Amino acid sequence: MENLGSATEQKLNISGKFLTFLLDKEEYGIEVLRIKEIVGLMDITPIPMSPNFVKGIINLRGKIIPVIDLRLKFELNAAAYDDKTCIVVTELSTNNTSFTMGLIVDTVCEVLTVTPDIVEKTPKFGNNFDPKFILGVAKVRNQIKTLLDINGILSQEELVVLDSLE
Amino acid sequence: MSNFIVQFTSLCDELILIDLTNPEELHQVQAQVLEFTIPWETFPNQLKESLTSFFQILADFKTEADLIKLQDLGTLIRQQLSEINTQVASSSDKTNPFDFSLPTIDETRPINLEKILNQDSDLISAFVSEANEHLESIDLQMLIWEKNPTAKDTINDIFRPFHTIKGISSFLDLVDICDIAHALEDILSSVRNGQLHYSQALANVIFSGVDYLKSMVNQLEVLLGGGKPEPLIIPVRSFVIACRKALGQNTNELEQQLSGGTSVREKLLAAAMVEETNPILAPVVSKPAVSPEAGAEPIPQPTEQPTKQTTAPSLAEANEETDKSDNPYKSPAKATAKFMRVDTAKMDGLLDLVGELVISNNILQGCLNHLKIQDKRLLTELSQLRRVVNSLQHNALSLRMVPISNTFQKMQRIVRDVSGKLNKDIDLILEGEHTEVDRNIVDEIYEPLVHMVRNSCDHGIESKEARLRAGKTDTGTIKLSAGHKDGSIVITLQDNGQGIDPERIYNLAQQRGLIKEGTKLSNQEIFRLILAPGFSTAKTVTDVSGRGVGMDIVMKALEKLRGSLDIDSTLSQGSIFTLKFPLTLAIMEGMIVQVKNEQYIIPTINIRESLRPLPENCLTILGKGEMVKVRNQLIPLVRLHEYFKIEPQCLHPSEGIVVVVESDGRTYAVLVDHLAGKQEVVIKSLGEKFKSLKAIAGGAVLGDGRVGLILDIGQLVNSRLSDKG
Repeated sequence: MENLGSATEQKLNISGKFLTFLLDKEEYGIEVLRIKEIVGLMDITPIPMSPNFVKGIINLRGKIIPVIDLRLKFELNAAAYDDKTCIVVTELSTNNTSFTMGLIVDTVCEVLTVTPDIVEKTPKFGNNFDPKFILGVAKVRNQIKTLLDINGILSQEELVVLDSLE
Repeated sequence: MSNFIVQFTSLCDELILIDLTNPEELHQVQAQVLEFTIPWETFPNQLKESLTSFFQILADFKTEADLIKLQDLGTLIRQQLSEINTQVASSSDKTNPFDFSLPTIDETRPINLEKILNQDSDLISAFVSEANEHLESIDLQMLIWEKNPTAKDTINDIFRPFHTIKGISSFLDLVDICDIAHALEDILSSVRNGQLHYSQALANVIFSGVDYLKSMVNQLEVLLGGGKPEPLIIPVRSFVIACRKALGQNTNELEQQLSGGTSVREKLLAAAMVEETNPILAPVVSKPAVSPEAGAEPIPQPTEQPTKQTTAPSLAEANEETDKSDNPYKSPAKATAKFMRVDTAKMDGLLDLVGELVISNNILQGCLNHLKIQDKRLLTELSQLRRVVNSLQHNALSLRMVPISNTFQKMQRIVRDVSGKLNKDIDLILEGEHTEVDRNIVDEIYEPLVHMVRNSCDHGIESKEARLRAGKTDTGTIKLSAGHKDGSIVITLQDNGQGIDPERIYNLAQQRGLIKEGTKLSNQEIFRLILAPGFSTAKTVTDVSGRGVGMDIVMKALEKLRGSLDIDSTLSQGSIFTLKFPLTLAIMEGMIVQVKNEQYIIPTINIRESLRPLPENCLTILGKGEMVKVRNQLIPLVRLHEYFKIEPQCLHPSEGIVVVVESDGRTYAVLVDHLAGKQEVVIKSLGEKFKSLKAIAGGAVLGDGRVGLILDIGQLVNSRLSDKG
């Protein structure tokens, strides 16, 4: 295993379990350790003056947590929610404080065990797509699954658009 | 002489408590004797003999029988010593004058407590909360002492907390805190021995010392919380030297070190020697050996002793109460036994859960009604459940309740300081101190109260001459009272001063452009003008007040507490300020309003009325600003749907409902689709992510399990104002 890392630069040292889910027919993965639970879709209270990907807040057994639509966040085509739509509840952290956030995904697929030998560095796309928050791409059975640094994507995010006040 | 008496007394006390199975302890006691400075020449022969044999027995200490001998002998010696002491005291002038002056030493080194963070943070936070309590009780007792300087008990009550603070801080290696507490303890110890008597100067020194300690403890608290405190500069060394000088003690060494006289090596040596002779003292004094500012060798101090069990009752006490059980150190233990310290986070967690339980219970009852279940058994059991849940909620809420007395008593100190500065005589009367208030409210209310009390002292109460001219007594009175009324807490602050002159306020407000010329206002409305930011009636800005921020702060705090303020005043009779706020911050009564499918909650405290206006009462000004006429009053209209950019159901106010809300003394009409009911809701924060969403105060789980957004009316109105401006 050791010489694998040096054999090719393309290999990244990423391993562990990832939960994969579908967004517009593509499969993505998030570290299982970041995930608290998966719940079905429930009543969402919209929050005024927030960007379109912020769907609102839900009452998760007494705790109020924000919910965002990952499709909209990644600027994919919006889709109507159906009975397969889930909310993946994740625990994120910014500077020592952790917070919970729900992510709306098309459906969850599996828990994937990732070893360094199946992960490749994100290829360069050449357009303005920012691969900073993509940990790498896992190749499994002729499919590719994009592994996301979900903390990096969402912890920086401001969920209120103040411009809309004017 | 007196030093020796104190040293000897505490030695005897330690003998009582000594653990014979532990040779360490015995060695420590024996080592103490080496530090004694015994004024043999002043003693009569009889005393000399007893002392010699006492030391002899102590040096050859072996069995328990020796201990009993020592104790008997110790009591005898103490009696003799006190006789001599009273003779000396009566022959010379009874009291030493207390001459305190801070030496002019340049001490600009900020207090650095950061190293403390390497230690066990649990210990430190326990110290912080304990020290805060002690400092408060010192403040309180000091004020009692000022009124009755001869009370022995009070001195003990002041002495004791200082002693504890000194002990723990030295254990935790908080050198600066320890030094100041120690210096003050020395002064108090002299007071107990009758060498010093009460004077204003003495009290001021102790108060300023307490303030130093407070600011250092406060700094610790900030550090513990992970924050970066402001640099704090406290002249610890000068203060300690001044204290010692005032007690007529030797301060040369300390002063030398301050001016950098001794070399580091010498200090290290000195510290090493200390470590040899007295292992327990070492942690306290070896530290300064490394930091050049502090003392390297302990100056023989009456009370500088192992921190664990030092009891040093004064001689007078030693005479009166030879009974050991009457030890003044025992009383706090008795008082605290009834209480338990609980982490506030745990408490908040419990309250949250109880809140959840209440909501779930409501939802369950809702389901029952919905399903039209008639089963008798089920209904009885469920109503039983509801009763239990309700009383559980009641109990859980009362856990957070603390009497307001702590906050009130702090006001005594403020009045004392401020009236001293202003050269007025002011009595503060407290009423209803035992009123219980939510812990969070108690914390929040402190600052506004300080401002209001200071204002009353400065603007309310007149100078002594003016009072006499007005035919009043020269002492002004401020009455602070608390009580419950209609499910709210009411705090009133009443003074018998000059009152507020509505005409003067009116003119001033006009000058400052707060109101337009010719505006007609009732007296009440005029009084409210003093709450505007930047409004100050004081002719000059003084140390005490006049900057015009005070009342503004009061209003800000009140808004946070969802409270209100009423002002009433009669010229030359005095003023009454009435604060009113809810019992708890966790639960709020709100009106649920609906805009299309969304439910929002408006706190009922903000609501004046709700109505459906007639079409002819809805007016526009310049085609832009909308107004609603409610009983001949024109009120600006806020369309909630427009504000939140959502699709409404009804566009015209005459189709929907306008809720007339008040905040900050301004009235607005909020247009909503309809009212959906009134409910007690548990307020939840939406979290960091929605912090910048100002117009929403939080969320609450409604009866159907959905989340409703709670409107922050004050912010809604304010942001609307800034939009228009």
